[in-house]
Amino acid sequence: MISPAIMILAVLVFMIVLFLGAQVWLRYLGRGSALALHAREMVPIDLEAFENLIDPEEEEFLRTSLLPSEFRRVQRLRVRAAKFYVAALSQNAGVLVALGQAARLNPDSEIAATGQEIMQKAIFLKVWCLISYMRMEAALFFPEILSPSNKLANQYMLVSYMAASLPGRAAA
Amino acid sequence: MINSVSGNTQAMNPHLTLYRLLWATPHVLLLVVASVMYRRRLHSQFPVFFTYLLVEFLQFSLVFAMYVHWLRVSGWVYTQFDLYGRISGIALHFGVLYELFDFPVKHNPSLRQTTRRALNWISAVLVASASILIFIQYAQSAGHSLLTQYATLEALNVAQCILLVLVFAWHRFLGLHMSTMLFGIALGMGLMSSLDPLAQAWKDSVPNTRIPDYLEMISYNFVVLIWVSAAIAHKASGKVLGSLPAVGLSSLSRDRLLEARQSLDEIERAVAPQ
Repeated sequence: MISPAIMILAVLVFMIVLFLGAQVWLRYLGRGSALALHAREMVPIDLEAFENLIDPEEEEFLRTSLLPSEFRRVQRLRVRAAKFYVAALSQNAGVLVALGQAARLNPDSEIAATGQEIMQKAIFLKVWCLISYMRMEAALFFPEILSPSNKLANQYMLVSYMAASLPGRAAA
Repeated sequence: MINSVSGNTQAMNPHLTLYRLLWATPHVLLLVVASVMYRRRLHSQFPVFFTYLLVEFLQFSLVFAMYVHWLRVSGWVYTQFDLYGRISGIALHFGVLYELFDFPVKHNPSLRQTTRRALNWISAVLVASASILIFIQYAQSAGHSLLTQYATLEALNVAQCILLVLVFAWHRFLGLHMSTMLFGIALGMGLMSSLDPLAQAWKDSVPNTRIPDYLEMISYNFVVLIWVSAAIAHKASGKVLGSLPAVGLSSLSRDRLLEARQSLDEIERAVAPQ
């Protein structure tokens, strides 16, 4: 008699083997693979609007002008909107990672070194976007305590600078 | 991988020959993987995995010598050696997993530290969850108290399976193309970590069956072949990346890259005082 725990284990193993098979398929048989996913064009971002969403002064003004319940509602709307921006910035960082990785293998040592540097910084920004996104999710539940304008603004600014200064792109 | 098969003094028969062949072949091939990695200087990129290959081979050599009675030891010594061999194997597996996670951020100390911290937490949660699953399984079997150490090892194996999935997810999230060697190591470790606990659980719940042993050995042969192929084919990863312009990232010109670097430098300066 096979115990339920072994059945759970077997299902888990089956799912993992299936997942690994999918990875092989995506890499060697699927067209485009993960590279194509991140090789999309940059998303144009209205940074002015984004900065407005995370402006501490703007938030303070709303906090003093509105009733607490109304402030929470408005703040949630602002956080939701800011999340879209961070997601777009994360995608742009992904494009930069792919760009840097491709350049890293260039026979020209200078280009390769630049590619390495871009890749590392873009990875850093990508992770930062993820952390910001997660904190924003939390801010949706506690809009008064976890204000994106207070602690996260600097981080948002970092990614927004990145998007604004992408070569050959007008992000803002 | 050490097989906990007791010594057999019977005359050689086809079944036994096949058994020994399936057991010994992948371990010999581990040396092939190690030598190819060394020749291609991959050992410096994946030092923990390289160490794992050598340690695994050494362990096998000793256990095999005990198994065929070239080394005469008591059953207790054999069991203890097997157990500690498994423990060191799992510790090295975790080391390899951390190495795979670290690979994209290894040039960035602060990010590396953050990744490590996150990984420690994730590992702790996974090990705790897997322990519950495995101990439920063992609690139902007779004499489970004797198997606590093995149950712990199984739980660690299950946690490793999930971590392996996260390695792929991590690279995908970052948009990084995994090099052939890295992909091969992750794939092989994933297969090994997922089939090991299943085979072990099968053995524990259905005594006197050799099927799980064969499943384990055949899968390990397959895993080592994946590593051999990955080490040999590693150079090909450059070709894949070479096709990037075709999927949208056109004009990898020096000017564009320098401009990108300048932009990133400005970002860094902008956030430096914080």
